[in-house]
Amino acid sequence: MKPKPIFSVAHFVFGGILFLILLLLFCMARFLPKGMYPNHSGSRTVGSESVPSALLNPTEDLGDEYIRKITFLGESTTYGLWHYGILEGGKSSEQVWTGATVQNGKVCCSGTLSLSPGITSTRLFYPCTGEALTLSEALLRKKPEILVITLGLNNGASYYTEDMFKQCYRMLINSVKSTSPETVILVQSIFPVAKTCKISAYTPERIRLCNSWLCDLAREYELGYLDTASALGDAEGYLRPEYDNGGDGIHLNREGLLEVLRYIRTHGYLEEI
Amino acid sequence: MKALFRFLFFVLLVLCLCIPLSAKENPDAKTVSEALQKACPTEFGYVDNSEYYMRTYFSDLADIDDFHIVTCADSTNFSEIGVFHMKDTAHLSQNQKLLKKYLAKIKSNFENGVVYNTKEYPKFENAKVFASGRYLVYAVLDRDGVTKVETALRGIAE
Repeated sequence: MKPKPIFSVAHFVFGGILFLILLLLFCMARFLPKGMYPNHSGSRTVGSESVPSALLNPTEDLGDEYIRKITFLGESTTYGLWHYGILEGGKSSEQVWTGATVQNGKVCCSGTLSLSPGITSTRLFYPCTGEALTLSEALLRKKPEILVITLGLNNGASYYTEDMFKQCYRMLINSVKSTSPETVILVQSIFPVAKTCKISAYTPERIRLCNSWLCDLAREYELGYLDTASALGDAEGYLRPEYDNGGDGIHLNREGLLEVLRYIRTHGYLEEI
Repeated sequence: MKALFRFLFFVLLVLCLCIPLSAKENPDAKTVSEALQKACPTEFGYVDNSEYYMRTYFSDLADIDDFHIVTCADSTNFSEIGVFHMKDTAHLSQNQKLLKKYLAKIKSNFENGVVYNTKEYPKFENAKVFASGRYLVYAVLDRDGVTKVETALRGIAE
């Protein structure tokens, strides 16, 4: 009688498959490119408040090199970065995306943008070429390394419900994620307004509430949240007078915007260590 | 047999003539909206916000079977056109009231500081609701734009 082999063909096949799976897992762990990961780890407690995990923690100053990686998408408060010429390229900087309009038959920057359900179809002024493009078109052209979004004061802070606010923002985030999946999205807080601001809808309470919605969204999408408002506001939540441009109480002066950049540089979205 | 063919040909001919007529009588809301947008064009065109606006602002409208709502693709331009088709005109007056309420609300939002783009304010003052047949339309446009859109609607729906 022929002796029964210890290992049958089935054993070899099963073993081979197992080996291939292990090899595949090893290769994935070893050779996948290192991405950028948020500089946060779960929630932490500051005083009596639980700080959400999306919040970017303090880091060393990552310098101008980090700022150069960023494209800023936002409303008129973001336009100030261009107006004061404080980014690379000064007033010809290609790092600021805000709305487009037409004046005297020529496409130009409107200097503002609003959170709205049509945000992904609204025309942005694309500074690299001077064209009016939709967000997707601009993303496809530039594919920014980091996109800092600062929207929500226009429309959002004045009258949007939480549901409306979040729906519009989700449309925006989904559009960025689907068009330029490699782009790191950072959600920035709405900046506080000055005590002298005459627009009754813009109160510290309302802006705080909208910022909490932004924080929720950042957590939902596992994005980094830049709490720049905390660096710009006083104890009551109003814009510190030294950062107010002295106009309508909404817009920052040069020092205010430099403080925004300093906050971003020192609360960086770090590469995996 | 010849007579039967003649009869069928005649029936087909009548049907062919009737179909375009009925389609013309009731173009869908999108077609009407596109005609109205053409009457009042903007530099970057309009953005379709139908689903969001219907869900958010107009869920109380009664007996609406088709709609198309657009805003301007230029974020500094507050032009807005909404087209609604009603199943019948039984709720016309109620729907008109709701749309007027919406226009009052967005005007108030603007006044309370939604924006500070004062050159757009006249559009909220000129905003108008008008009906033609079973179509109900609102337009947030300058005076000339509202007139053009109203005229265009009459041309389509009457």
